[in-house]
Amino acid sequence: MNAVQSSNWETMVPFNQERSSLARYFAGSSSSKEIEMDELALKDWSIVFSSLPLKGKATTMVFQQSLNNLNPGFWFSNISSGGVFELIQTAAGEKTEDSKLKFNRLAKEWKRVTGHLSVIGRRYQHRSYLAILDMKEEALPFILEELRREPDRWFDALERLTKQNPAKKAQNFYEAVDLWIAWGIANDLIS
Amino acid sequence: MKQRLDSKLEEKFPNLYSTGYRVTSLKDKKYNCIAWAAKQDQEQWWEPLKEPGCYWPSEIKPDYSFQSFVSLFEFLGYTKCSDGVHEAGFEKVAIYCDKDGEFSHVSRQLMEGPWTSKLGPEEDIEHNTPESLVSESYGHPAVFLKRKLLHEGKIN
Repeated sequence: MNAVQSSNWETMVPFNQERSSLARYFAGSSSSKEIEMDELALKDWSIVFSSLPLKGKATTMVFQQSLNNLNPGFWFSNISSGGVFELIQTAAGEKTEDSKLKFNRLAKEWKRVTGHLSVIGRRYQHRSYLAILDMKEEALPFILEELRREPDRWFDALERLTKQNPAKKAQNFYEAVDLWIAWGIANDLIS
Repeated sequence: MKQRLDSKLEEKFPNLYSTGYRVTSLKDKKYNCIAWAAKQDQEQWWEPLKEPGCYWPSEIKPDYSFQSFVSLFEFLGYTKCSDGVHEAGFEKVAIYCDKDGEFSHVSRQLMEGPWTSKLGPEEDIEHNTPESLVSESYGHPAVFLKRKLLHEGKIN
């Protein structure tokens, strides 16, 4: 509780066993609010913007950002609608991981453990690959960037997540890579 | 061409360095060990998977059972044999299975006696024994098959 000292923040009691909410800030409707974070202890915390008043567990999270890599003085701006900012900490101090970092960690693990296997079907059963699929559409730009950086068997994941297959007529691996990257650019997922 | 695999890859095969091997190709994600053992195919990835660049003979059941991989080589004219000892006039393959009994790899014996393997999407290597690749991920050579060389050095 000592972490929150700003007068803009109202301290809260934990509202469930999974996350402890420490403070919240009420933003007015259609406000553009700058929230100074330099008074907060930044380590191991995340901030969530919820469009719904907090009664029990927040159900609509439209913005989530790990604070671990932020500098003091970080602020959010251009909030288009009113709602509640909630400062949360996961159980046992577990960090909420940035999605890009999460993808990189999972992809690296997947390649390290399965990259030399002779059967692709076995690679698709690895837990890191399945965790990437669990990231759903959020993982798409990361997969496409990774496909461009270091081509690998991401076609199954891309097809599952997009329900499309622009590489259907590809004759070989590298042709399929090119077609998926072109598709990603055309759909503004990568530049 | 480099003489040894990347250290992280080499470490996955504890017997490999001590039993002797050499790298014989660059990395290539287009083909795998099955393509390399079956037809020296460097253009397709042989696996029962509907993905770009994948190939699987229509005559073989498109599943991942160990028996299907054995059947693939029987379809290519191989018959089971007892071991990987070199026999003049024959070529042999060793099919590996992991601790769960799943297919994991296949190596092909070269005419002179050593073996050749494509390591997934990584390099081809020449290794002295099938046991060189015994490891957690590749398991061990479980079935050996051989077929008569119709023409010296030519794959059917």
